[in-house]
Amino acid sequence: MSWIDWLENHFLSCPVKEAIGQDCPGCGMQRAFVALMRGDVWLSLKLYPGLIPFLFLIIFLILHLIFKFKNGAAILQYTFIGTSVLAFGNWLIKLIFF
Amino acid sequence: MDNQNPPFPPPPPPPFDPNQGNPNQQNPNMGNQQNPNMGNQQNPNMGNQQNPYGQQQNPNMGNQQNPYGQQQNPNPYNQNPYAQNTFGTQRDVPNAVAILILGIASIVTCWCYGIIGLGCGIAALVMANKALNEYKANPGAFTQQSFKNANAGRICAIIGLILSALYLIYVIVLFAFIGTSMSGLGGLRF
Repeated sequence: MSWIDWLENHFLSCPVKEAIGQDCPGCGMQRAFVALMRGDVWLSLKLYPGLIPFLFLIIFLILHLIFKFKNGAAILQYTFIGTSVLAFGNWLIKLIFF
Repeated sequence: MDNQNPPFPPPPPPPFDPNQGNPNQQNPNMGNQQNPNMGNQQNPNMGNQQNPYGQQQNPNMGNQQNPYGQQQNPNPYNQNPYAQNTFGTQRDVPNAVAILILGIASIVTCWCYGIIGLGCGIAALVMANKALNEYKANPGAFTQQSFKNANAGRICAIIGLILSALYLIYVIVLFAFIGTSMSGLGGLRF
């Protein structure tokens, strides 16, 4: 798809990585998003495991604000905790082992 | 000035007094009964201003009290129109949606040194504490849905604030380490 190719060639550079040379907790998200858009879920999970719950969090937040689900706040809260654990856990693993 | 007479004489009493069986508790001459010179001390025209309104209001008051005296609610329009809303309708906790969005945004912006996440987390936490204090003061006046949103946003803001602060401290320490090592290299080189 053309817009994914365009997106792949126009990644935003990470300011933290440019400054200190190490990955930040958000590094890998764009590559994982492109992989997910190409249908490669496994590669997306390997690149950035917090992307899928992150996207679910954003989409569910918008839907919850529109439709006001009964347990929407609790689902958002637990999704947020899972996303945080995955994002910072992935960052710590990259920081320690790579 | 205290003994100065009012420039206009007080108006005559109303021709028909509906408060025949009722003592003049809200009579236009009430001020004159308690302190006849009060109007002369403060404002000579005060008594003259009170009396014409008193003549207009007092017969209506008498009509409300005397003919319907046995009824507890003679005039429903005298009720506070907002009194029915204290238990009937509920409103949202203030800034509940903003708290939820800012709480979630505190972790979304983790890539920017944690500064934006720190700001979002602090803003969400301050608003959440204020909103939840209002909710605790009167829980029945707010909707449960908005309370859940504000509470979830507060928890998200606390988590995002802690993680952003830790990451910011790490970046600052790393910058300090890099600066120290760079200056050390510079010292060795020169």
